[in-house]
Amino acid sequence: MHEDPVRDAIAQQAAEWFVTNQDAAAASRSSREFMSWLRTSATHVEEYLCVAAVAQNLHAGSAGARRSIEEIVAEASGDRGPIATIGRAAPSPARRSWRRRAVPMTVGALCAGVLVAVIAGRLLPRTAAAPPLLLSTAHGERHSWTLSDGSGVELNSDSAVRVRFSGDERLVEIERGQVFFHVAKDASRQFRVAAAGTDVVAIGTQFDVRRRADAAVIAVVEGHVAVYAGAPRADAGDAVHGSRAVHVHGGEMISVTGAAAADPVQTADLTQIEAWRSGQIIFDQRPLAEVAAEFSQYSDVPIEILDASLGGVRISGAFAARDLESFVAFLGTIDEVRVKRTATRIAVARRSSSPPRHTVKN
Amino acid sequence: MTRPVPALIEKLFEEQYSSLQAFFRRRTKSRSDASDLAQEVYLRMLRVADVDGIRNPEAYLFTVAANLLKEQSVSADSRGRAVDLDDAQSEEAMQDLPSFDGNLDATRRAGRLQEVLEQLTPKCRAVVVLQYQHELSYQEIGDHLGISTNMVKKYLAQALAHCRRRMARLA
Repeated sequence: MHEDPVRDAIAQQAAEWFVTNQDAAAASRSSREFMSWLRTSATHVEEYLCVAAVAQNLHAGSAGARRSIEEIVAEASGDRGPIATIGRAAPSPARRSWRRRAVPMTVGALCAGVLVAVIAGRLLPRTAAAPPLLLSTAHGERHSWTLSDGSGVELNSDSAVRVRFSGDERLVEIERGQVFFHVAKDASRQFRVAAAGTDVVAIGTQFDVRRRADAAVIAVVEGHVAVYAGAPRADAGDAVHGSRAVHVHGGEMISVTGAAAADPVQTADLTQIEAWRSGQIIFDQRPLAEVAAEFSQYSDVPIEILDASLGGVRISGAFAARDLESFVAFLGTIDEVRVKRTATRIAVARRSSSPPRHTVKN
Repeated sequence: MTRPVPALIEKLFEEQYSSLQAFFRRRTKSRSDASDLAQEVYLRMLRVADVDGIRNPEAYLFTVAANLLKEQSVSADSRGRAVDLDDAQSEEAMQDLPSFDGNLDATRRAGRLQEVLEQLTPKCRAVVVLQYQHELSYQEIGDHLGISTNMVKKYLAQALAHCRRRMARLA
């Protein structure tokens, strides 16, 4: 599951809230804040319930093997005395605390470590003429990689890039999909992204490029990039680019179609970029059809909107991108919508008569 | 299409994901995706117009969740029934919350939790034991260990988050 860092962060927050909520006085002071935290997403609710279940298990599981408070306190303070050696020789206090601390970190870092090692093995430039490296994600998959120069690339679902690093240029070609770049500084080699005939030259920055059939949408989170409509000739270098550059800065976006003139620079919706990177789909008053298409990007089961007029209904929400079922359940709560579900498709139809509203009172 | 990530890691991620799903599936017995439950609780939370009207959000959350579990066991689709909240009911709901790894017998579960606890630092583990075994208050735990109440809370949150991550993987 690729959302792990996000889920871990939410789990941590859930645990903090749980601990706060066990303290009645503190809980009542922050109840409003807690409610708004809970309402952030279904994942927040899920993590909170999971943490509560863990606490209950800890409570139930500690019934046996009861040790005195004094023993526990003594062990915690490093004053081991005669009671600390259970089964094996105790290591020295310094070493012991290192080991204790190291274990959870090791466990967590293990997967990441293996991942990095494997990828690094593949990505390290062997010679200037190293063959291009193809990175890709399958339907519904997301991945990020660290390239040999330290730059990060994150591929959204159904995306593919070719990485061609040489002595004087770092080139990434987007074959399809959407890619987020976190470019490491390297004054001697420019970082260039080519997509659908558009060239983006980055200078130590973070930006997102979405490739459509014959267009590229570039949104900059931080720093700035130079965008060139039309790819340069392979041997021409910077000279060809010169006059046609459009500079796009942090918080801005631009859409470029082939070699045609670029649209004007617009304000970018950066929350959308953050959303896909964290495995979420967030929509605020967006047409149902558009949101459904986005979910389809991560799912094998297509969502079909049978009544065209429903496609324009504006909806708001925040969901895990892979959690199609929850989105479908959400659609079912909209008054005019009826969802018919089979193994191979999800059909969204107009409900003939509106039933009474679903409400929660308190 | 190349698959640069080894199958082993893919598998690990998959297992973790499915065990999490199983956590809810075991409770709902519903044929559909198990995270429906959390999503449905969430949707009901969203439908609350007057957030300030909820005196105890945590109790409210558990009441909604527990009601949902009951509804799910009665009927496959009874979404959207109104929820009444009184404190006695929510107390009961919190007691009712099913435990992790429902398929495991209690001994094995305790053994696993013990393993996970062993991974914590001694002080962190002591805080957990004093809280859940001896049921001391945060203040009492702090006094025994010579640390502030805030540190007690930090240790506990750390421990719970760690156990939550590890237990999800072990199911």
